[in-house]
Amino acid sequence: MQYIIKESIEYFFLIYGIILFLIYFGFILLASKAISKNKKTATFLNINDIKGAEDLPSVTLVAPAYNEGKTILVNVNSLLSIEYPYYSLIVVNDGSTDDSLTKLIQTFDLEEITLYQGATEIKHIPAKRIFKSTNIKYKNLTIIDKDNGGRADALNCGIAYAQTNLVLCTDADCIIEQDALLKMVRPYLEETDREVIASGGAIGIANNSIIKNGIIKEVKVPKSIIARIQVVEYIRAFLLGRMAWGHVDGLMLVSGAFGMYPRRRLLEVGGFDPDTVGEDLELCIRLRSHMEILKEPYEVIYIPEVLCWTEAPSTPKVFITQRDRWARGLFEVIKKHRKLFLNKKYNKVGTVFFPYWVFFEFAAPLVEFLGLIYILLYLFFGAINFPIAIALAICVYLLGCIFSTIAILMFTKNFKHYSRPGVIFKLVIASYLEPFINHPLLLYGQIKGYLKKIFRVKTTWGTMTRKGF
Amino acid sequence: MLLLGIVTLWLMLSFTIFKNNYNRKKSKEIEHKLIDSIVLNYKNLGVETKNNKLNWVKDYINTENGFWNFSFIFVKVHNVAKATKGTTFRAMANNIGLIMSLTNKLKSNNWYTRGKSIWLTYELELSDNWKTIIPYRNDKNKLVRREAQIALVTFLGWKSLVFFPYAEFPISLWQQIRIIDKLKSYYPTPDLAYLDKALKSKNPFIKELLIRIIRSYKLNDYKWYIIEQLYSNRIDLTECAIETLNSFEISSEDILPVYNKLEYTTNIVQHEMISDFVSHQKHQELLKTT
Repeated sequence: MQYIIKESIEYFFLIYGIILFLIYFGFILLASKAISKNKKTATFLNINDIKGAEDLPSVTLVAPAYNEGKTILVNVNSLLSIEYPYYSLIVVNDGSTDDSLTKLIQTFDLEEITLYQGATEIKHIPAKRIFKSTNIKYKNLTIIDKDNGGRADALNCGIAYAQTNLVLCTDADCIIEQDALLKMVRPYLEETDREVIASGGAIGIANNSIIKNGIIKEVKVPKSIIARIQVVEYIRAFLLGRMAWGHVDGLMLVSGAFGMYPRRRLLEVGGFDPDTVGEDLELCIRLRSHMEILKEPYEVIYIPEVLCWTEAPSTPKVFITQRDRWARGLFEVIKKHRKLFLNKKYNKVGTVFFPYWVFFEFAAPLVEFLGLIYILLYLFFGAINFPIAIALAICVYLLGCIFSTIAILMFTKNFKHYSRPGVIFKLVIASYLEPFINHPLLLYGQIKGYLKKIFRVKTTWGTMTRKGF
Repeated sequence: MLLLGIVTLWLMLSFTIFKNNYNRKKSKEIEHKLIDSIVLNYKNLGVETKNNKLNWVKDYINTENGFWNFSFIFVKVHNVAKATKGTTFRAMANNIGLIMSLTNKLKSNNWYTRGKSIWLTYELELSDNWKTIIPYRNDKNKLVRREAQIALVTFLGWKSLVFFPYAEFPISLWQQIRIIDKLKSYYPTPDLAYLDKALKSKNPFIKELLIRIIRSYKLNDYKWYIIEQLYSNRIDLTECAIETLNSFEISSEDILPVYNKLEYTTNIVQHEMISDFVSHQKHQELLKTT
């Protein structure tokens, strides 16, 4: 009996690992197909052709800000300089206790206007004051001041006050490419058979890059090894993961830092859920299940170009805090939407995509953690077969290196952000160091997050200490 | 074996970096050479000398990649300079064999080649090819039919509207924007006879395009058509009609039939949208009178 249990556990780990690697290599194949298709299609969709069109849909950019006094002016200026004919910017001051609001009022000639009610379909902490600029230069800027309610609540407030067909949710500390909106609306203009319910672009890491007036002038590789490894992690996740899922219409996540949605659909589902820290994933899953219930054809689009830049954690502490939060978010979302699991009513969302998230996104850290405990027990009882264990570990490590190198190769082939040989060499080396530096921290953060949820430790969003780009 | 895989990937990565740099340099070189060749066309040189100097292009465009690389640069330079001397480009495209090559590519079985060839045809204003393009206007490939429709508008202008009632697929907003853009740049004066014919069409795929054309050309006399679409069974068309009507002067006479029909609408969303529109217009009217 003992032998059967032992064998079963070992086979479980082996099969799980093999399936995971097969999925990853499946991602490579799907992503290659998707990139090739996307490249061909993109040659027919030149954004210069639509720049001056009067039939473009209007877009509201909603950017919540909490205690970002140090960077708020540069960031709002950057958001205001985006190239798009019909867009407005709503900055939601989410109860900042610093001088963010005062700075905004002074710099952008803001004047308080009569408080009015936004859309009532979305719940949020009520706005206290609304400001508009008296300067014609900033006529598309609105600042909403409200009590602190968290990122999701602030976004909901912005969405409630938006008056456009499309809403782009971002963060006030993100740097958005000047032509990002023109690229983001492309799928909405192009689609005829299915409604685009969400779209997102790739997120780039801008640590140590050269930024002038809120515009990225030169992308540099981060100096901190933790941030540098995340560059490869993002390339892998966005270029391979999202691209592959997008190709099979299985995207379940649009990054919170940069996601566009039709406002009508956001109002229908009640906006973001303020009770979860994984509000971006939660919204996307909720939108998809809503459309499945309505039985209306829809799609979630991923745009492979880097349209938004953010600062990645560069110290172990901040990195762990971030991954702890992401893990808690995932835990909450999986729990909240458990009814989707293997539920045919939701078609592929219920039978394929959501179970993938459960088995391979949510369960992977748990399996890895249990595997580590199992190895430790083996070590303790002296039952480990060292030659086989070492050979297996090297194999897994090399497979991981191959996977990362392929991601960097595909990125170099198709995008120009990192083109110098020295830079690419640094990224390759960083990716090979990932299992020794970032991965243990990541696993620690994830398990910490799960344990907090299991033992109901009261937690918040957590502070992301920004060093500045 | 895994190590061998990694080494192979490094080699591929090195080759990609080298190739990217080479392509970048090559592209710049071609652009410079192309501009030199264009300048050459303005110089008083003999035909033979000119042809000899263009021999490099003839060789270059013989390859598939070379053809498209050169074409993209050619269009870019053409778009900058077309306001001055368009005919020089046409003659040059002819001399280097670009037009001949393009005419063959238009008949390609590959959708990408076909689509790009149609694009190049209208960008270079090679109107002789319009008859070859006509059958592609309802091609099963979305991008091919889109380029074909844009090409027809570029070459035939308002007359091309006679083809649209036979559209077999929906026309995306991107396509509508491009069609209107071409129509406005090449044919700024509306030819209402063709518009009238198109307006009679019952084809649901073209109604939105027609609404946008009416708005774009500010054809006040055709407001009735937009008002008619308010009660369409397609909500997006109602939405588009409302947006468009907001850019026109609306009188109480225009509003009355809309208002009278409102109570018969069963679609709640549509009812809400139209009643919002009506009350907004009434409010505007009231403001004007006071």
